[in-house]
Amino acid sequence: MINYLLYLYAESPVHAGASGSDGALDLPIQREVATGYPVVWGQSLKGALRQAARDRGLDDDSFGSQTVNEVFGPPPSQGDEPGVNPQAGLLRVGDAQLVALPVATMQRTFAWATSATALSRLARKYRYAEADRTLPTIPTPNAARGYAGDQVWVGSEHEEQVVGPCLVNFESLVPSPQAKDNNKDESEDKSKDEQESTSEDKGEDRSADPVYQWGELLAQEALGEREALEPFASKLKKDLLVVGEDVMQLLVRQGTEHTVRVQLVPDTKEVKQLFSSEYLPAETVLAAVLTLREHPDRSEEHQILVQELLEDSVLQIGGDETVGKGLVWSKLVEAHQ
Amino acid sequence: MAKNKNNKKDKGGKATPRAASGKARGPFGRAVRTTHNSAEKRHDLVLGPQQTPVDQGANALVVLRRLTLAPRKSPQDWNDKNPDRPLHAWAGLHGLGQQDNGLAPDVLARRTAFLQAWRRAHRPLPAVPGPGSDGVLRLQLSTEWRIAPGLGLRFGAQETGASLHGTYGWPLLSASALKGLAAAAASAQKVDDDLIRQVLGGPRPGRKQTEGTVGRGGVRFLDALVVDGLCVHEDVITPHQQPYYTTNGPQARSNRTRRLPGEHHNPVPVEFLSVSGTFAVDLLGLDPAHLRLAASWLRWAGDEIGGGGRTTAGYGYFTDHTPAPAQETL
Repeated sequence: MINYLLYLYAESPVHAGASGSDGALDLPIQREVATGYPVVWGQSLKGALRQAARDRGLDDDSFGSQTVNEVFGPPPSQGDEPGVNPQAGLLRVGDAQLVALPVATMQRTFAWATSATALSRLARKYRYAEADRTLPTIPTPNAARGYAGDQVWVGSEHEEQVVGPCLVNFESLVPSPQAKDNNKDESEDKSKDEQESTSEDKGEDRSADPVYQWGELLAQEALGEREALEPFASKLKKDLLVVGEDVMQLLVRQGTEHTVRVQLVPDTKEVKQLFSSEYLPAETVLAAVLTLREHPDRSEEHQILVQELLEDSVLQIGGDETVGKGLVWSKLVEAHQ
Repeated sequence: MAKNKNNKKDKGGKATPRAASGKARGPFGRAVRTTHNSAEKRHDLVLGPQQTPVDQGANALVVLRRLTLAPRKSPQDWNDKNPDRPLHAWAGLHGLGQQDNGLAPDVLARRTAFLQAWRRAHRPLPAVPGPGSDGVLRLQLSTEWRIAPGLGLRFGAQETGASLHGTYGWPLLSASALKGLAAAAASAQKVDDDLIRQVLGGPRPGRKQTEGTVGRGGVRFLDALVVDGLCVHEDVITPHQQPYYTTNGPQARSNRTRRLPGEHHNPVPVEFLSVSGTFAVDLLGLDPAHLRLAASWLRWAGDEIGGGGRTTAGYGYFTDHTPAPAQETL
């Protein structure tokens, strides 16, 4: 058995649609019932992966339909009886859960918000996938506050930052020498601060900050070293904000993109068919666990197929594809048996 | 932090910052205020106790869609009719946050890289030389004058809206608008129904769903950002007989008494934002012929139909300025 951690990074808004409407919203996105966090269900993701394999011609040229069918399971129309699958696919696709959500801000255009819940789940995925990583500690801010890695977001008691619909007061877990005068923060790292107070290098003293460490981990594992993503990887290190659960609840509800679409009567331009749909905004980071089960003799081919499809690749997931939605960068983190 | 302290010293060593002339309504007022700029006769948005000027780093999704301003005791030059004018002024000054924003070139470069990766990952196409033969066609559409997309999106306090990118808040020509324009152009040119369906999907609006007419279109339209020459304009439209227009026509509520037009009605200025510049319009698809058709419909629509609002007043027309080699190599 091989486990993978699949990261998805949204290039364009993603609409993994839920059934039914949600109040005034006609086409809401999939959400977890208990937390309200946006999610892309495993069944939706698996369908998109299979379609991607088909779109790239992996089922006819390079691998053959047998390999694709072994990995994803046979297509529904095959087999003697309709609706009966003689065998399951070898690839298990988990839900793609929220890791970080972009939020509009009043400086640096946007920042990524995450929460203790989201990070704990990511840590759990790493443990489940048995990916060999030492993970940073998970910051747990008060319900209505937050932690930031970069001093730009940190303010004194009454200096709050606009984060989408909220005003949030950010603290630094490791106060920098300058901010120490203003902040009555925890003084646990006093001796360390004194040692470093001579050096002006901010990077050095941020490396001990768990918020910065998470940003660094995500930049490396979710975005990777692709050249075009490099500016965003370095932004992610600076602009990851860990917010309390109260703030996160507002952000996951109000921080998504709502679009109103209409159809115009060709001659009179009268508005018909007005409907609103919801999207996960571009720049959202999601993660899912994939498990590839063993095959007696063709395991290696299956692994190559999964890697070919997802490693440092691009995909389309969710609905509204002909209006350019659901384009994502994918990144595969391989773990061991 | 250190930078802010220096700024304060630069302003003539004042111990206290200038008095705010107004502030955002509601809790946002704790963070966002305005100060009077006497040289320019306007009120500028500032942030926090340090009064850092709000620049292109702010996101229009907050400024235009979440803020509304309240003046403090009748400050100078404050427009009581439209107290939110400083918000539009910010949008005009900083190109809705995109102008001089270091992130903008990175976003555009990432899109190009995405299209290249997409092209590499997908099935080899039938070898047809010419634009779109690798499954990606990029057009550069320049506005002839100005375009006002998303006027009806009144998400904020203003009466008029604007089409904004859902993460960066920059001006956007949405993919659904572009696709609608292509469809309008195709049917205006009386293109064969079957062909329209292959390119844009079916069944087309108003047509019955019959066998063989259902399916996804062959072309993906992507949201288009401005790549060059971005300028955001603070425009105004002034209906002279507002009571007549609001009580007649399809948008009037049926329970309101209809008013006749009259010269005694006051003109009512309505401020709105429009954009000019060159938009990068990307089309993806497996059949180069479909891509070229969609592109030709968009070009035709740019000349004949126009996109966005106020097309009868000259807004919304555009021309194709795609550099010749760029069409082939992306």
